[in-house]
Amino acid sequence: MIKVDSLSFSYPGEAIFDGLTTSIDSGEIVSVVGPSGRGKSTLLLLLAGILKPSAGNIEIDGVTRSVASQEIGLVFQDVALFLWKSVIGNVLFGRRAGASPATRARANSLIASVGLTGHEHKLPSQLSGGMQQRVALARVLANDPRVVLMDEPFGSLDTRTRWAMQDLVLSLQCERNFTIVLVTHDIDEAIYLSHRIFALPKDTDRLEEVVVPFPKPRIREGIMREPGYATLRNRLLELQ
Amino acid sequence: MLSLWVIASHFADKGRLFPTPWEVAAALSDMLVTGELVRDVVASARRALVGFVVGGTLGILMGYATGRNRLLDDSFGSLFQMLRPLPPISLVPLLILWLGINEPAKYVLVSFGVFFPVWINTHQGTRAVDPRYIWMAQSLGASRQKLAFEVILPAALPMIVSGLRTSIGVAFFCLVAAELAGAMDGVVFRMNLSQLAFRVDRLIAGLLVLGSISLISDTLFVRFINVAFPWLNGPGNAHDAKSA
Repeated sequence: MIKVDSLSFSYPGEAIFDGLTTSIDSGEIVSVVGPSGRGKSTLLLLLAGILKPSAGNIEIDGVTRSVASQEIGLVFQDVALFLWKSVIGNVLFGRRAGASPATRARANSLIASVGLTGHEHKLPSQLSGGMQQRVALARVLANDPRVVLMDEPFGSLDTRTRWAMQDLVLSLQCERNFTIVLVTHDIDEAIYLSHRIFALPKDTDRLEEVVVPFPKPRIREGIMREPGYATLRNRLLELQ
Repeated sequence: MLSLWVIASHFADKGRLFPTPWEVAAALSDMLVTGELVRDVVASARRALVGFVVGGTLGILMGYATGRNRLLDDSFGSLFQMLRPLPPISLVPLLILWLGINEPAKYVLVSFGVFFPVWINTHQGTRAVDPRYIWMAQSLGASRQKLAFEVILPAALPMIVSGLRTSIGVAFFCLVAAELAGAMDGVVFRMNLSQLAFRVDRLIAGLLVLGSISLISDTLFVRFINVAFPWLNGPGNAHDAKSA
């Protein structure tokens, strides 16, 4: 469980969060939406222990976090992989992953689980954007994180690839039950993936929590026809 | 080009100050047969290589240190910026006093020239590494050593390679100064002797040899980089060693 208690953070001359308090359950998927510059990525970096709050604290499973930890995996949109390492080299990068035969076999099984068997020795430049994001996911999962923080991970992918990646994330999360905090600009993506959505409205330091009322597992084609989908979508758009 | 050279040498001072290509080729052949060409090339190449390796290694180490550590940047950055514009040849009188005209003085002079392009490129390259690479590595549990060798230095490699490649030319520039300042062998030493003996054919032959060594060095360096770091030529990477 992630507990954020009275969290404050500001960049020079600009307060981003002032006394933010919330919590995220283990195994929950939470999306963070809001206009650019409102602090979505900053919130992820605070949760990851990379930025230090000016006040308040963040607890993960009862332990206060102030430094980056292997229990929290990070996935970014456009800097997904180390370009100088092969697919297997990227997946084996984490200290826990190591390079023993057992961990190598585990890395290969993770690569298989994201559908990239046969591409182990390719460089990132030889992969498509979607394939790079799959490797980034496998690399994070190699450390068995309890929380995965994703900063617009599918922002640069075409619609079909984005949908495939969303389904892959859902199946991996269902299998391993890690918590996901996902920053996205795509309201439909947020509704499809999340249990709850945190909206960071413009010109306020509030955080609006919106529960997504549709049961899981969801069917992409069906969810948009659910009663209340349009209302929820409009509400989230208004909050941005 | 060769035709222009032939015509020019025909009209210029009856070839005395401007020998024909075949006179230069004959001089080159003569130097090769006597063995002095090989001896001189080996001596010059050794000085350039030692200076390149020493200056390049120090440049990368100090560039990383000042690029990633503010305290070291404050301590050494200004000093290096002050020394960087100095022409290496201005160091010759001091080096002769300190180290004489033996080999160490030449190595130091070439290393001095090589150091600064490598230092400034490594400094800028390591400073400009996208912080998200570092955050990702930290969240994956990378140690400081792993962060340096597997993340920051590879991410800065395009800039470091540019600095090293620039410094190949600088190494030969410094080699000229080093051998003119006093040497017993070397391509530039031989050119200096040829000038005193008014042997313009041997002088031009020396220039061609020096240019060829420089070209071969650059070609070998680019091939090494392409083989050792194939990802540098991948799409989306700013550096392209093939076209640089």
